[in-house]
Amino acid sequence: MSSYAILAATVLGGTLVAVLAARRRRLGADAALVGSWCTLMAAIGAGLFAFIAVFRGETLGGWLLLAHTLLAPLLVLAMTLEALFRPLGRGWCRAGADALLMSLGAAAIGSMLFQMFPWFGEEGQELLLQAHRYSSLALLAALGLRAGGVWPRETPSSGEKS
Amino acid sequence: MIFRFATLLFAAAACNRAVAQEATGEAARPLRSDSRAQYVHRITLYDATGVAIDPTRASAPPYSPRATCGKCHEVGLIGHGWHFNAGEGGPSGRTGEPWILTEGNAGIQAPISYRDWPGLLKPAALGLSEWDFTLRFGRHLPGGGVAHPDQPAAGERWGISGGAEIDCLVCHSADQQHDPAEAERQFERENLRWAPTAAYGLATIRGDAMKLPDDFDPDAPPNPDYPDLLPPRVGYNRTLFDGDNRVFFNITRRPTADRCNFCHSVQTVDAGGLGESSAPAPRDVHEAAGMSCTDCHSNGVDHMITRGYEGEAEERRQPALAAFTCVGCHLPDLSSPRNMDAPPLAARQAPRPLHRGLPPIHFEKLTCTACHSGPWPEAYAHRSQTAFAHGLGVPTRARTVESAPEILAPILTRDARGKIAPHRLVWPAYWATQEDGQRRPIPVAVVRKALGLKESGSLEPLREFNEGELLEAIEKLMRETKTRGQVVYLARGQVHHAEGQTIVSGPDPAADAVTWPLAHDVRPASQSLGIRGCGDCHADDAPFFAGNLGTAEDAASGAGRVISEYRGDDLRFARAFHWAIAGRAAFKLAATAGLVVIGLAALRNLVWVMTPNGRRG
Repeated sequence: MSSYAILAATVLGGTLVAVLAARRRRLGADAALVGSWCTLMAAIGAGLFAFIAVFRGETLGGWLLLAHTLLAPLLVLAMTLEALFRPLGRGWCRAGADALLMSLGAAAIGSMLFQMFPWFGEEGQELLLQAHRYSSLALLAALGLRAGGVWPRETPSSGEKS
Repeated sequence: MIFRFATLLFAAAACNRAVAQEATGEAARPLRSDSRAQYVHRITLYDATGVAIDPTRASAPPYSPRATCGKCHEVGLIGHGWHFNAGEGGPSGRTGEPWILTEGNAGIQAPISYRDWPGLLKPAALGLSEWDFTLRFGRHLPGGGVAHPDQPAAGERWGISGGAEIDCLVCHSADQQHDPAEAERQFERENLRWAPTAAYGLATIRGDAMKLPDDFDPDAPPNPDYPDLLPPRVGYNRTLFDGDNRVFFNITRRPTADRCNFCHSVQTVDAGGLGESSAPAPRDVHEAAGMSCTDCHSNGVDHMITRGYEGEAEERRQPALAAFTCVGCHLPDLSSPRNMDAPPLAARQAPRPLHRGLPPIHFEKLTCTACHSGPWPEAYAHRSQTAFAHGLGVPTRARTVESAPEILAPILTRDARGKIAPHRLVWPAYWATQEDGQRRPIPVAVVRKALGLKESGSLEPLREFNEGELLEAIEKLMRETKTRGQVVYLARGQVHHAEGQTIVSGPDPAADAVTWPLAHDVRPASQSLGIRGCGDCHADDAPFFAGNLGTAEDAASGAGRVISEYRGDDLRFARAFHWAIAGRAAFKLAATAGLVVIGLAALRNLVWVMTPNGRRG
C-alpha cells in the first residue's frame, strides 16, 4: 500500500471516529444550508471513486476516472454556491474554519483546473496532481468534520440567545 | 555425394579457421590500435583457408571476410550478435519484424522467424531449409548464422556455393563502394561465397554456382569431358591492389544511416503509388538533426546492438542501456550517477520535452512512439513496404503498390508491456492440414505442386480465393498431402475449410494478425499526436479510437475492423470519455469562475478573522 493510501486511510478513519464521537451533537447543526450538503455529497462521491483506485493500488483511470471527473463539476458548483451565499462566519473560530475550508476547496479545484491548461510541463503536472490529492483529502476530512458537527459551531454573537 | 563434399569443405574451412586464428593469436588477444582515430585498413586479403590472395593468379579464390577481418577482430564473438544469432535459440528480445514467406499466386504470406516471437511459424514448418531460407532472403542477410551453417544439411548445395560468411562491409563500409544489391545478384546465382568479393567491387565474378550439378566437386581438377564445368571465376581488379597485394578498405566504426537503410527501409504506399522512400529529405527527426542510427543503436564488440526499447536494460541486465531509450535520452535523470557515464548523450543536447498540459496518465498508458512515430494515424491504415518483406533496395520493375505481403501501419495496439504503441501488422495466410487435432502448415513447394503454380517470387499481389477456387484448391491439396483429416486455409483472421461443397469459415487464434512495434520514423514535436489538443485522440471520430484496422478497400469490402475493438478497448467507456472531454472547455470556464469566487470567499473569511470584529467574536 502506498504512503498516500495509508495517510488517506488514517485521515478518513480519523474523521469517521471524530464524527462518531461527536454523535451527541445534532448532525448537520452547522451545515443547514443545502449548499453544504451538496458540497459534502459531491466530495464524497468524487472521493469514493478516487479512493477505490488508491486503495487498490492502481492509477485512477477508466470508469472510475470518468465518474470522478463527472462529479467534479458538481463539487465546483456546490462550493461556489456556498461561497456566494454562506453568511460571513460569526465568531473567529467559525470564520477561520470557513477560510480554511474555502482555501482547501480552492487548492483542490485549482490544482485540477490548472492541469487542463498548457501551462505546466511533466514535473509541474506531477506537482499539481500531488497537490490535488492531498488538498482533496484534507477537504474531504474537513467537510466530514463539519457535517458531523465536529467542526467549530457557530458562535452566538453577544446579545443573541443561544 | 553432395553431402560428402559439403562436409569436407566445411571441415576444411573450420580447420583452417582454427589454424589461422591460432596463428594470429585471435583467441588470445585481438590486435588493437586503441585510438580514437579510425585505423587505416590497408590489408592483405585471405581466402577461406587462410591463404593470402594473389590477384594475378587466374584461379584466385574469392576473399573471405572471416579470414581477412578475423586476423585482427573477434569474428567468433561478433558472429553471435543480433544480426546473426536468430538461429541460435537464445533470447529473442522484443518482437521485431519477421520474415514473410510470400507466394502471392498461392495465397501465401506467412510470417516466419527462427526467433521465438509470438504468432510466427518456424521456417521449417513451411518446408524452408536453411539453404532455402538463405537463397530466398539472402538479399537482406548480412551473412553468418543460418546462412553459414556449421553443420550443413544433407542434400543441399552448400558444398558448391559455400556458406554466406558474415560480410562485415555490408555495415562497415564507409562509402558506397560496397554494393549490397550486387551481393543479392550473387545470391540469386547461388554464388554465396563469392558475394562479398563482388559486392565490394574487388573483382568481377564470372559463372554461376547454380548451374553446376549437385554432384560437382569444387576441389576436383577440371573434368576433361566437361571443361566448361567450373566454379565461378574471380577476376580481381588489380588496380585496387598495391605492390604488396594489399587493398585499401574504407571502413568506419560508425556506419552511416545509408548502410542501415538498405535492410531497414520502409515506405508507405497508397493509391498514389510508390517512390516515397526516394524523397531526398531525411524523414526521421533524428536523421534530420544530423544523427546516425548508431548514435542510439550502438554496440560493443559482441555486436549485440542496442535496440532502444523500454525494458531492454532489464531484459539484458545492462542498466546502462536505459540511457539509449527515448526517455533515457530526452528525459534523463540528471541526478543519477549513471548520467555521468553517458557523456555522448549529454553532448547531443537532446531537447527535453515539456509535454505542457498532458496529464501524467498518458505516460503510463502510451509509449513515446505512440504519439511521435510512424505515419500519422488516419481513418484507414496505410500499406507499408519494407526491405525485408518487399526487397526494397533491390532494383526491380515487379514491385507495385499491390505487391504482397500486405503490411499495414500504423496500428495503435498494445505491446508486450501493455502500453499502446504503433505497430505494423500482417495477416498470416497459408495452407495447413488438420488431423487428429494437430494443425500443420503445408510446405510451399507442396502447395505450388498441388495447385500447378510456378514460383511467384515475392512481389505478386496476394491472391484472393473465391469459394469455388477455395474448394478446388482444398480438393487438390487433399489429394497431394494424402491427409486423413482436412485441409484448411488461414487468411485475414479466419480459418476456412470445406464441408461438402461449401466453405465454412470462422475466427481462429492461429490466424490472428501478427504485429510488431515500429519506432521510426520519429516525427518532431510539431507533428506529434495531441499537438492540436485532446481531440487528436479523444474524439469519437479520432483515428486513435475509430481508425480502421485495414485499408479503405478492406473497409469497403466489409473486412475492416475498428482499431479500438481490435485493441480490446471498452468502446462504451471511450465514447463516454469523449463526451466528457467535449465538455471540458465549458468546464474550464465555469471552474475558473468558481475558483475565483471560492478564493475570494476564503480571503473574505480570513480578513474578517483578522479584523477587530472578528477577533472579538
